[in-house]
Amino acid sequence: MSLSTDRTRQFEAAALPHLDAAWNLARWLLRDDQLADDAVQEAYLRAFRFFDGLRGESARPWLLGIVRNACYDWMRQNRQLADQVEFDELRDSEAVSAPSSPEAGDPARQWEQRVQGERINAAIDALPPVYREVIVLRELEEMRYEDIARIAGVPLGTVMSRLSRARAMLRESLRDERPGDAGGRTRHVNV
Amino acid sequence: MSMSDEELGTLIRRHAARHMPPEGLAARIGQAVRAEEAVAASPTPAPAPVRRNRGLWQGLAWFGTGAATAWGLALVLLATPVPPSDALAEGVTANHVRSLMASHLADVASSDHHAVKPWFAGKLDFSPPVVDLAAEGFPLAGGRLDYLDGRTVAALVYRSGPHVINLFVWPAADAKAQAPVLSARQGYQLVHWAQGGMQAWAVSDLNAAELQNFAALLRERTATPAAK
Repeated sequence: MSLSTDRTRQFEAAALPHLDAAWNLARWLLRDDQLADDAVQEAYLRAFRFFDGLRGESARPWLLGIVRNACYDWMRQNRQLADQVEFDELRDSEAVSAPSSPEAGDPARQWEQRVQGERINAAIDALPPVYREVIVLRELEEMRYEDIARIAGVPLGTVMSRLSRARAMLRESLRDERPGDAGGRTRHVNV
Repeated sequence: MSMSDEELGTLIRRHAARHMPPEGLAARIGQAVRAEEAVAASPTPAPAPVRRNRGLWQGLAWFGTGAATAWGLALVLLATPVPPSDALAEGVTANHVRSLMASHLADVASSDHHAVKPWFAGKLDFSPPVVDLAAEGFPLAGGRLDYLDGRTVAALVYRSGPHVINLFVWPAADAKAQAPVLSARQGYQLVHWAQGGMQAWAVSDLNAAELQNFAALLRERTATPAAK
């Protein structure tokens, strides 16, 4: 019994520090709090079962790979539903970012920041999952290409090409959404 | 014209949401893991956590029991370098049942062995033979990682009508081929064999004859002495 409790403790020490990253990835992939919650819990249980297989490997990519698989399992099983969620959410995000006249009381700057955040979130959300995940892992989690390759279960070259494709799509959609707003563009560049 | 990768990255890091896990998720995971551990660790009901402080003697007694058990286990394990296939059969059956219960049959769901085999690359330190037996009535349904015999093993999932077959494959301790051995456990049929440096355990609720047929087909299709 004391042996197994040790195992539990070791697992928690190795896996729980990566909960933020696990959640961020699952939440971005599934775009829903409840689904992400289920997927992350399921992934941690899976990870616990295979924990002994983790020897001399970095826990972070190992764990995130399992989280990713749990998310894709869900997406595969609920493909139609997922498409619908995607569609609705896209519309919602666009609807939110649509109003262009800031409220009188709101400092224009803050408003711009919020709109900017929503715009970028919506652009990432609109990417297909394999592109969305490389952006999240590379830009938000700042992970190494090798680790991303392990997580996604693809060769390094595929990670690089997905990343560049994802960036191209993001540029495209960020440009498209604001035709004629040259001021916004210039500011991004100066950021 | 358009912004550089760096500028785009900065923009994303500055403005995109980094979602934070809900409070209490870590605690819930801890609970779930403990529950899983309790189920996995003891076929008998897990002893309730000792709440009252019964003092040093009980602690010592438990320690003594644990030490004796560990010593005994060590003796058994050292005396028999090959794990008793009884324990292995137990593990195979338990993994099979769990794979059906947890709705977690496959990490890679595909009937294409060209998709399933590469999936294992980088996840295992060996490359399991993967063949599709759809033409013979056992279509490949996918693969996942599982844990047996103290190591991570490949689990391949086949179907036969409504029946699921879990095939566990991992490197054999020696290169000796071993003819199929049939056994039964908790109503499941098991067959294990060794071939080409790999050992294989197939488990299913199929009847014994059909499972043997499955094993024979697999052995025939994976027998490529030149390939390894």
